[in-house]
Amino acid sequence: MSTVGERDRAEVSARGPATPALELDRVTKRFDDVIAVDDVSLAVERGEFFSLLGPSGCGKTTTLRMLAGFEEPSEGRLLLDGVEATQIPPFKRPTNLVFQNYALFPHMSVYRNVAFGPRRAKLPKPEIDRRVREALHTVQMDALADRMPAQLSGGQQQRVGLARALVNDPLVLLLDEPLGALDLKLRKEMQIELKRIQREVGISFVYVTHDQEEAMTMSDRIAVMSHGRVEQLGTPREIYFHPTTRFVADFIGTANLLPAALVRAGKRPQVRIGEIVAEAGSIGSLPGREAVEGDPVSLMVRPETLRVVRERPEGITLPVVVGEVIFQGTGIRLDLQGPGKAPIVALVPAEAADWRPGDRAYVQWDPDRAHVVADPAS
Amino acid sequence: MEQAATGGARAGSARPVVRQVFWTIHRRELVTRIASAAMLAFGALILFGPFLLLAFLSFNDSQILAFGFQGFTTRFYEEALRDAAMRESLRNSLIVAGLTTPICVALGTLGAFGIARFVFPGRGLVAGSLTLPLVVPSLLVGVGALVTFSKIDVPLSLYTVAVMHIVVGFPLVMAIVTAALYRFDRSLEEAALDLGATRRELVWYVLLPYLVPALAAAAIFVFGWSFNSFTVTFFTVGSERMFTVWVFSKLRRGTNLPTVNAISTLVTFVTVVVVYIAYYLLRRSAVRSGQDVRSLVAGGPQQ
Amino acid sequence: MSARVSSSGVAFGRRTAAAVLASPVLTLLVFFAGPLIYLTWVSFTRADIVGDGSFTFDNYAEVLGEPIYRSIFLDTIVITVTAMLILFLVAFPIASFLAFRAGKWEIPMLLALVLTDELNPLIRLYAWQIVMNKEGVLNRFLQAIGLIDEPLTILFTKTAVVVVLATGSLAFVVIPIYAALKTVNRTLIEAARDLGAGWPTILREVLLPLAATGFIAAILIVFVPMLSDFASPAVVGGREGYMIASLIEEEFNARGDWGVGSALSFVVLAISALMVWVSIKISKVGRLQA
Repeated sequence: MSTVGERDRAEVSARGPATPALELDRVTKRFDDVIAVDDVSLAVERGEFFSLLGPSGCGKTTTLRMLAGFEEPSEGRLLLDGVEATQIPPFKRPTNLVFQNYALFPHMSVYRNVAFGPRRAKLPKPEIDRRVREALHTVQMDALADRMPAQLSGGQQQRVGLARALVNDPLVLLLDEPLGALDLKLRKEMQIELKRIQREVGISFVYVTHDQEEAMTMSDRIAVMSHGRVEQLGTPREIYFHPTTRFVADFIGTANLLPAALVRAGKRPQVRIGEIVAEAGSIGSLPGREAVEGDPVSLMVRPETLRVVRERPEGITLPVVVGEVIFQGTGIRLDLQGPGKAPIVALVPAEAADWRPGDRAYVQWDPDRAHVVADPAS
Repeated sequence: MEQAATGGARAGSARPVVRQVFWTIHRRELVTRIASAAMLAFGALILFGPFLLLAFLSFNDSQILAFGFQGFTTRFYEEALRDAAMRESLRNSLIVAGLTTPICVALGTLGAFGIARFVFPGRGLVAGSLTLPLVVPSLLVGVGALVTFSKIDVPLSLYTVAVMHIVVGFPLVMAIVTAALYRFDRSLEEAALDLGATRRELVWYVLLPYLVPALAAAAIFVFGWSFNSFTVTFFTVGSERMFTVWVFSKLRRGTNLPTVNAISTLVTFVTVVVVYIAYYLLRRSAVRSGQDVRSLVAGGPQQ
Repeated sequence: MSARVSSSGVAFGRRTAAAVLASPVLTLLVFFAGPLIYLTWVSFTRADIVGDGSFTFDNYAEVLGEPIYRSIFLDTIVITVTAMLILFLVAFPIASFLAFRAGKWEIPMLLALVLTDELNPLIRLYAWQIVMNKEGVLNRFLQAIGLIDEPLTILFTKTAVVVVLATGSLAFVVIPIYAALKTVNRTLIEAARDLGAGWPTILREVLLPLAATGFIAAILIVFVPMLSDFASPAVVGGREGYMIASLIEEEFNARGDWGVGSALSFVVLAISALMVWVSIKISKVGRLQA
């Protein structure tokens, strides 16, 4: 886990109550010979919107199902509100799950779906009614309480799914790609809506998604997972600008990863790209051993931080040839070829110079916004 | 037709090739239409024609087989309903079916749960064995029961019939309910457990309500199967009369039997009415719980 | 996502499984397996009226050795296979109409088919008797349109049995084929047409291979009941349309030779199993080639 992540966690718990809502302590899950989750430790604070982000098969859903109690960890412990909960069955856990396919009971009305949990908890009738109406109000479904699930649209069904989970006032709400089945526009709306509801109810959310934009939009913190391990844990900003590994840099957003050799690690790292020596603002973790000069690394520069000019500018710069010019409305995307045909992507304002394929140009970047990541040991 | 008119007009104006191609396509379409209509009519004729014929004969005032209309009468119905042997056979068949159905539904549902919801060593073997009564010819079930009951000195009666109907009937229910359970979305179970339902509550509030249409369909099928069953009934019934056996005893001569026409028409009519009412009720509850009624109808038992 | 591999959270205990399955399995063992095992025993004993109940292979020797029996076996297989082939020819067009062209009539027609399953088979037999009688509807109709002068003998022939078996099973053949065709994506057919395939090609290359599972299901469902049916040959078969099942009924009820009757029953079982196996084999070979 990164130093950045740890510092962040310390800050959060300094602000909130001391015990995290949820804690995974060195949890591993094996299915026969396959390791789905590999030695994961993380903590989710109270009232935090926490995302598990990663490509399919990275172990994020298995992690969520362990939190819900549908899978038992092969190793490690799970703590809810500081109390060991590894063995607690799902129907006794203070967690509730929102399913990707909604999983609404098809033979029950919206109202009865939402009332299902409170009824199982044997709450008094007026209390059930009050809670159900409140939950339906929170997700703005009051008017459709008597409908059957089959009569609702996908977005409405997911609102009911959310209300059905929220009504139990869980310690942690678990969401398994809840917007995955919705179309793009509705998904964007629901992202904002979800964030609003989360702030309103103040419950910790653990949100599983493979969509990095979605995770960025909503999360307080994100755990990026790959091959069952947490690659990086941090705020969206940290993960975007200071990825610890090449995988994270590549998975989050668009990144130019220029092949380079390490010159100097430390506060102002330096790398050599071909003939030139470039300085960067930060450096990710270097796996295993002390960094040595000459280690293969990549210099990560985000497309929107690149400047593309025709005349050779002062300072560190790379010569490029314009490949494709793609108008994207908000800007122009330039697919460039750097030294040794290395592909470089730049995002420039739409009103910038009139670029044509084949044009020769130079790219330049702000060293403070460049970042060094180690190449995977091979 | 409209297409033909506009297409023809357009083609007529200019290119004869286009016109020819158009008419070839159109004629082929017409031929397939006529062919499929003929095939359907033929299917309907062989499936329902004989029953309609019986209905016609039952109201035709003639003792002998006459296809010209000799006048309308209901006297054969009166005669048929006065026939004590027939009344007894009908009553016995309904009693056996009524006895068989609930037991089959209970056993079949248990079996379906056991197979679809548990993982244990030898599950495949148990599942396969429980479908055997549907695969083994009912002739063997019948004669096997006959020799066994006689060996252990159990006199044949309505009870022996009912027991053997149960043996073949519950796998039928099991097949329907298992299919429904496999169609059931497992995440609904997880949702229920996640929301604090115990396993008992899960079965009671989520699984059983979902299964109601399938159970109803299964009950109707198994009732009908028991009532209509001939082979097993034939070998396992004693001195009591059963409806199918009674009809069979009337048939070996191949002549017109007006009272049999009448009672057959009556039974057929009641069957049709019951099946249609059952279908509408099923469809309503299936639609309410978001299931496709087709899966209940076409996915049903086919034995 | 990956994680539906296990569902330990929902799985129920092994002891509950035993409790749930106890009553169905017990019913099966006592009232299904028991009689069949005893029937096997009877088939290996001298169990005719004068028999002493000792172990013997004589029943099987008689059943498999006598030419009369063998010709009845052969007749039974010919009748059943003919009925099966006719069923396929009639059922396939009906099933494809139902699956692709019926539109709003799809469900009513399906329901009508299911209805035929609920109609009493003995009443159906009786009705066919009247249709095929010498003075029956069919003969009168054929005479009326001048196709024949003298009434044909239809009743009490093999043909009569084939007709009755086939019409009694039509629904069970149409429905599985319909279900298989229903899984065919319409766009698949459109794609084939777009690629220039005519209907015969589409039928051969697309529909029939995809309907193969339906054909197999249909064989599994109707073949064995047809093979072992004894009401149909008894009512419309007469001497000519005699089948194994009629023979078995005679051994048990008229002659009281339970040993031979039981041996014959197991021959029926063996033939059933063999024919089902062969048809599955053939369909598999066919599908591998496609």
